[in-house]
Amino acid sequence: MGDFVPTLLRYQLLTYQILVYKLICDMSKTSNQLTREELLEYLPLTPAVFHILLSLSAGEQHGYAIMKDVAEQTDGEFKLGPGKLYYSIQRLLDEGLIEELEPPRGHKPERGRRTYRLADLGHDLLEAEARRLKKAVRLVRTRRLLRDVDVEGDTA
Amino acid sequence: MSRLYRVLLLAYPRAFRNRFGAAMVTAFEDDLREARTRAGVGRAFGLLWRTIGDTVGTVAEMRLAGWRGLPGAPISRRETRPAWRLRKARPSGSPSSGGGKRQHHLDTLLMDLKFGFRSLRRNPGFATVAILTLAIGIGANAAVFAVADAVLFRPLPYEEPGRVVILHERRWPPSEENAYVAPANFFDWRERNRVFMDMALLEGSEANLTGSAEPQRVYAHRVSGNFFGIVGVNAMVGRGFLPEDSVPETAPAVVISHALWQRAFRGDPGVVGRTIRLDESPHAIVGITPADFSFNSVLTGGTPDLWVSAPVTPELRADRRHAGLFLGVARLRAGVTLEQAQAEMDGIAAALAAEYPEANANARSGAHLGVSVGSADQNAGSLAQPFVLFSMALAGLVLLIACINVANMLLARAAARRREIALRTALGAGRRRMVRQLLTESVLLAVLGGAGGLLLARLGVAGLLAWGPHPSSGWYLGSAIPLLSRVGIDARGLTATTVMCVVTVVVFGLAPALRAAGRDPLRGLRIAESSTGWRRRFFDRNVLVAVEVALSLVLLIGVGLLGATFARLYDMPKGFNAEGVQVMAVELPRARYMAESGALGTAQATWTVRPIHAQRVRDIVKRVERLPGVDGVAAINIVPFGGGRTIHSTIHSGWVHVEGRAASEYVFAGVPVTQDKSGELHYAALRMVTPGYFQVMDIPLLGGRDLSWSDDRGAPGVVIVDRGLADWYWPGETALGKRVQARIGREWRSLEVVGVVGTVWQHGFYPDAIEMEQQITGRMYIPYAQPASAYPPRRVGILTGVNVVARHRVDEQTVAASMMEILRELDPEAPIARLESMENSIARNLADRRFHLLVIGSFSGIAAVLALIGVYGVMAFQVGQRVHEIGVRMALGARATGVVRMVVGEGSRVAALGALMGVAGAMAATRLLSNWLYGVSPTDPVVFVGLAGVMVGAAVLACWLPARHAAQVDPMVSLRAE
Repeated sequence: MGDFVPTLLRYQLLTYQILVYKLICDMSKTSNQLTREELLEYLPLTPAVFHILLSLSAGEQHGYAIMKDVAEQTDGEFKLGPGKLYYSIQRLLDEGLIEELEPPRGHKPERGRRTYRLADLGHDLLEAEARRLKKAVRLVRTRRLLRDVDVEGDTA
Repeated sequence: MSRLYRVLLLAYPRAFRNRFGAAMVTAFEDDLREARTRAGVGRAFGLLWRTIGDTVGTVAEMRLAGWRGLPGAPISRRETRPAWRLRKARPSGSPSSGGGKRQHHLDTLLMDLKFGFRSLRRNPGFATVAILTLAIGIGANAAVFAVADAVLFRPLPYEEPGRVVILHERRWPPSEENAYVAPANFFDWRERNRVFMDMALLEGSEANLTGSAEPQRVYAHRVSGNFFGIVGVNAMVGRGFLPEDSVPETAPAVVISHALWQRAFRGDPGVVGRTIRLDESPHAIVGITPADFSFNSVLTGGTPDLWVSAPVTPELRADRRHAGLFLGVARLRAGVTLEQAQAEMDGIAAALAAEYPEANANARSGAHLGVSVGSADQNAGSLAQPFVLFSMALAGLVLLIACINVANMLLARAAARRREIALRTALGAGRRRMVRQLLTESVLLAVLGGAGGLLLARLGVAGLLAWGPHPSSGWYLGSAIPLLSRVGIDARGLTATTVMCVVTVVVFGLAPALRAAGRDPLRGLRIAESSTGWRRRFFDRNVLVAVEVALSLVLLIGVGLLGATFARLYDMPKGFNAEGVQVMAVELPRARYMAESGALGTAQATWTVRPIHAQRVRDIVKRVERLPGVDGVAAINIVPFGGGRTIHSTIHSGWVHVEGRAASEYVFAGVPVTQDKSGELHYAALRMVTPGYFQVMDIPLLGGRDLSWSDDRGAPGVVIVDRGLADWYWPGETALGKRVQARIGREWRSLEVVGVVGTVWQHGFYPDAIEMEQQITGRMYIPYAQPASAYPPRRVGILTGVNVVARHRVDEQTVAASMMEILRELDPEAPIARLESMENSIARNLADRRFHLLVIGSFSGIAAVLALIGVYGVMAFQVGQRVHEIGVRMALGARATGVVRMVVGEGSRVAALGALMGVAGAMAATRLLSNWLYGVSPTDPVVFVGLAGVMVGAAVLACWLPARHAAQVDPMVSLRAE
């Protein structure tokens, strides 16, 4: 009986600690979102997702603008059709990586034109991918495989 | 375009469509607008391509994701890694569920599809040509199938249509023709058989319809009261006939067709119960048939306007076995087959022949009258059957040529890709996997080609419905397509198209795929093989192209012969001048202009022209003559190129013989009385005309005088003969003043020849009309005022038909309107069967030929173009493959002209081989056309040699581009290329 009470207290304390820790964790992220560690699980991104996120990183865009932007980003090498675009957008919305903008008040919501912007999590994901790519390019650079690749911060 | 995109959207899952559909359409429209403003059609086309690819790829991905239980579009590349790759890494003995296997297949399929699409998109030129080629081939077949299905295959809209049969008498050998049934035989058949539930009679006839908006000539089927019950069709409004309707005492009832209801009664449902007048006698409308109901047969021809209940009188049943009057229509008892019914009826026919040998058997040969039992289904379309089957054969040839072309292109591509394939095989892709990959590409091509083909077929069918030869209501001549209104592309057409796509894939896709994948990978990787080792393999591809050239040349020659016939007929001197002549065909109501005597209402009755008949004709002519701008007016009972509804009404011939000569010189219609040395029969055609007819029609009067109004009943009988008849009877001497005996109606008359005129082409240009024209030795013209006094009822139409011809200098419409007005004043109840220019009626007579020419011409044109594309493709490919060789030759001193000669020479050898085969094939095939040819031999050397020359010439031209390309080869570049 002598050991029982301190052990109980210790466990109780531990439970409180866990609860507080959980509360802090929950406060630091909104619901249905991923942690940074989970985020890394998504890398590397598919080209479609990468380019859509990249396009939205410059500011909010509507569907067709994203399509055009992606084509320009890649000099026309990678083109998204409406099907692929919105199929990807659906998943990105569901995962909380991007969000849809409410139409401005006073404006009649136009059925066909919807505007999206990057959510914080999407921003993090894009950043993570960019970091990964940067590492990869630096690796390529150090091995001197390609002569004309220039990575920010490096000088030839 | 954006409507097309909306259709594509239907492929997406509904939930996705609801959420993003509108946004996707907007995005597509924006894209389209931009593509159009930037660079026009080419870019818009590229956009279409991209969008189809986007749809196919995304939808496939979505469905697969759904099956795999994935949350949606992959974000990470880790999600796109197919499950099967991981599974494959497992040890081979590991258990794998069926679902996993399916998934594996689906993953592979998806990859194949995506890969195939990407590889097609990389070669838009190849893909476009291949898909267009297939679309044309499949489209032609789908369109022809739609017609064949409606006309020949699809059952008629009756209750259990397979059990409805048509009964004919069959003449004894050697003719074995189907003929009308004699009344007494019909009733004996009906009583003795045990295979039919019931048997109705059906007779085609024409009548003047009054009591509707405008008096008109209608085509009627006179049927017994049980007809609709046997066919198994209920009236749409009102009722069909009842057995009571055939009782002689009741007033005759009529059921009108949906088309007549719309045309004459403007779809007024209150028309049931109303009384109309047919040839002046009252009939009560009891019902209206459904819109798609029709009952046709070869003998009665086209679609009737109405059905009249025919009384079955004791006279009809009386012993008359010599003359056929109508058809039998019967319904088989349940479980009885057509063969059993035929066997039963054969027995009955034999028994009847034994009982009535004088009427039903031929004493000399011992043969007897038979019965033919044929299904109503086959009967309906059988008139158009040869043409439809012919078109199907043509469309099949076009598809075959298209398949050969695409197979050739695929072979060439496979050859060009052999290093890629060898590489992939070497890296571990299995042979089956490679075959499947290549087949998937073929399937993709076929599906896209099929979709395009369906579109083309719909256009084709729409064109056919707009311009095709619809059967006029009435008995048709020639080859109008019956049941044309049923033609359309439906589920059956779609199924047929799908089957065609599958067959196409097997034909053009399998061989190249097997071939490309079946080779030793290492050999493909060896470079040296590409320049010389390939020559052997060109051989079979050249043979394929030669076959293409041959097939299309056969078609071209067929069209050439038909075209030559058409041109000949078009330019043929017809013996009169059609320009500026207006024709009004009038049917005088017989009740007022004719008198019936003898056994009234039966075939034995005799009809005589009343004096008012000639008077009315004269009134019309005199009144029209006074119209301003009209130079001359006359009337004739049967006008050239009238193309009368009944072929019977265009033949009006009679017994004639020259007085004082032996009776063996009779000329008679239908009975072999006079035969010349070669055994051919001769006929004389008889016409009734008013004075001035030859002048109005510009027919030269070669001697003697024209008829005059004073040649009437009181005056001595006169006749004008044409040169053909004059030369036949009185060769080398004048016919004027000679006397002939002619049997007109049922009476013999002595006539004096007072004039000789030029010969006129009378019957038009249908094959049977041409045949008849060639058998007619000459024509006789008698005055309207000296008509026959006694005519059998079936021939009365010859007298009641009046064609007023007027030569005019002024506007055609004005003259036509005034002529109509005059007739309305003189007789408001006489319907106008036709009111048009003479030129128009000649053109109408040629319309069928023009239509055939158009259909066959477009098929063979397409075939020829495809064949030329084939020649071009093979030569271009060959040059591409031999760049290295050509470079070596030029480096060693060969000149550009030598290179051009080499390539063109090779191409023309292929084309010449094809042309040779084509000419041989055409020699055999054009015999089938001989019925449709006139003035051109089926082996006409000009057409054969000319078209073969054109084909070879075009093929040489098709080689020219690749040859020039070869001559521009830079030896240095080509040698470096390897």
